[in-house]
Amino acid sequence: MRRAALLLALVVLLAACGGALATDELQGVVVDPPQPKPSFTLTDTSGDPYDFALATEGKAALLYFGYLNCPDICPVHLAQIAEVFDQVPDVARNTEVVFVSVDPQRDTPDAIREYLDKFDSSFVGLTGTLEELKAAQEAAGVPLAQYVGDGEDYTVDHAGWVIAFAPDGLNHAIYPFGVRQSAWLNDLQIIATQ
Amino acid sequence: MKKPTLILLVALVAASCGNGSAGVELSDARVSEPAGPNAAMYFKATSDEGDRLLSASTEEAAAVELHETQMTDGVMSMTSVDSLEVPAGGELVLEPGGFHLMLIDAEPFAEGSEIEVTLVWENAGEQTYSVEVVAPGDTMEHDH
Ligand SMILES: [Cu+2]
Repeated sequence: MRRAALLLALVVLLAACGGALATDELQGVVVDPPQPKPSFTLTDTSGDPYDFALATEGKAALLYFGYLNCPDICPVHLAQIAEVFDQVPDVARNTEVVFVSVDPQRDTPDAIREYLDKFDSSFVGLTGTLEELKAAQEAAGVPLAQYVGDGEDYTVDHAGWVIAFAPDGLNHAIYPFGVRQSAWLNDLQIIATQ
Repeated sequence: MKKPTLILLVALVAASCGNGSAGVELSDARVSEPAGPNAAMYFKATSDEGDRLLSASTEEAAAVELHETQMTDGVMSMTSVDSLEVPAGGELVLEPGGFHLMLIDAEPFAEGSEIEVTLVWENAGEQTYSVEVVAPGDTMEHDH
C-alpha cells in the first residue's frame, strides 16, 4: 500500500517535472500553439526605458493595455490579479504585471504610478509616444486602441483581455473580461510556478 | 355594476400609492474608490410598475453619466446612454462589463465610506441613496 502511494507520488512528480505547462488545467482561454513573447520597448513610470522581453525574461508576465479614465473593467482585472498576489506570495515574486497605458495624452507617468499603487506597487506601468504604443500593440497582436469622441471626454476602445506569458517566454493563455477570481487564482499559480 | 368597479379602481390606486411613492427598490449599490480620475457605480433596481432612470448626480463628482460598456470581439468600448429602463416586475442590473454610472472627476472618497448619490427616475422622481464605497476594482460579485 505504501509502495503504491510512493509510486504514484513519483509518477505525479515526474509528470510535473516534464517541463510542459499543464495547459489542460488552465481555465483561461488557452493559446494553442503557445505564442512567442513580443519585443517592444516603452518608458516606465520612472522615465526609464523598459524592454518588455528583456525585463520579464525567466519570469511569468501579465500584459494588459488600458487607460486610467476607464473606471469599469480595467480596475477589475488589476484588482483580481492583486488579490492573487496578496494570497500567494510565490506568484507575486515570479510574476511581472505590465500595464500599458494607451492614452498618453491624459495619462502622465505620475498618474499611472499613483493608479497602479492603488492595486499593487509592484505593478509596472508603461507609456510612450503614439508611434511607440502602436508598435507595442502590433507586436503584442492586439487591435490598435481607437480614440472615440472629441474634447476632453473622449473614450479609448481597447483590447479587454490580459495576455499571460509563462517563464518559458511563451503566451499560453489570455484572460478576457469576466474571468472568475477562482480561475485567476488557479491559473496564475500554474503559470508562475512551472 | 359600474360603480363597484370604480370603487375597486380607486382602492387599488390608493393602495399602490400607500406602498411608498418610491416604487423603485435598489439593492447591492456600490461605488468604486476611484483609482484614476473616474469612479463607477453599480446596483440592481426593481420596480413593480417599471420605471426609467433619467439622470444621476452627486456632490462627490463633477458629473455623473449613464454608460454602457460593450465588448466586440474582446475589444472594450464605452458609450453613454440616455436612460436605463427598469422593466415592470423585472430587474435593471448595473455591473462591470455592462451598464454603470460613471462619476467623472470623482473626489478621492475612500473604501469603507459612503457617499450620497441622487437618482432621477421618470416615475419615482428624485431619490437620494447612501452608497457604499468599495476598493478599486472590487466591484464584481464575489464567487467565494
Ligand atoms: Cu464609463
